[in-house]
Amino acid sequence: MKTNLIILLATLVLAAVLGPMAIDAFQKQSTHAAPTAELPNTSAASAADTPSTNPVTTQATILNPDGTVASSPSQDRQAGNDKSDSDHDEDDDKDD
Amino acid sequence: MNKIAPILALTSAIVLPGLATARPVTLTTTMKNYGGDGAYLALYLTDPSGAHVRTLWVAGEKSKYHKHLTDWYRATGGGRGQIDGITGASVGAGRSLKVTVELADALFDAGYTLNVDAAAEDMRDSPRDVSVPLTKAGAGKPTAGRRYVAGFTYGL
Repeated sequence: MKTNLIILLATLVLAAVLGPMAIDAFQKQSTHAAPTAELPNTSAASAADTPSTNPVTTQATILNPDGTVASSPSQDRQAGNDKSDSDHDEDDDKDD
Repeated sequence: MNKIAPILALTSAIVLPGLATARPVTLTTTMKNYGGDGAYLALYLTDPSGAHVRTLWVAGEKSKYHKHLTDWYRATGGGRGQIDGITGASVGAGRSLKVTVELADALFDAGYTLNVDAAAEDMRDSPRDVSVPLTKAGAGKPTAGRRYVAGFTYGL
């Protein structure tokens, strides 16, 4: 009986220690695999979303037909220079 | 000894969720030469019931045009809080938009769908121009869009 109690306590302690470590290790791995420097993650996402499966956008790039980089949307945003949008007039006459 | 099993089950229940894995997935949306201005796009994920789960990217930053991304807008209301940090320039004809997203393994083969709504000025709106099930088998296989998108691929 006493042995079982010790095993149970030891297991709980291990789980409490290893669980957060595993989560932390995973988060570091994710950050390493896809740098978030270019774009912030989707921190504005609703907390109502499924927490364990929330997709996080880390990077976006627009490419020309020949494969060269046309623009990095994050850089455009920071510069306040959305070139493609400059073609859009003020009138919003799209067919709805 | 007969208490080992419940202990193991308890341990697994506590530890395994922390080991859930995610992987970077690159979504590539290539536009047709549709002969118009840069297209507005909304890339988003829906669950098995078709409900919006998460917006992954919105191309085109002028919010007054977001209503033309009709299905996405209807589901989200297009609020700024929905898209802060995940917006960028609209995508010109013939160009490609590459978006990298961390997706949990649990989302694959679970009935989730990747969607692209598209719109271009003075042209017809195209909700769900692309709508493709999120499966591991479907990775790398191009899907043709309905109106503005020439091809959509997600790669693991």
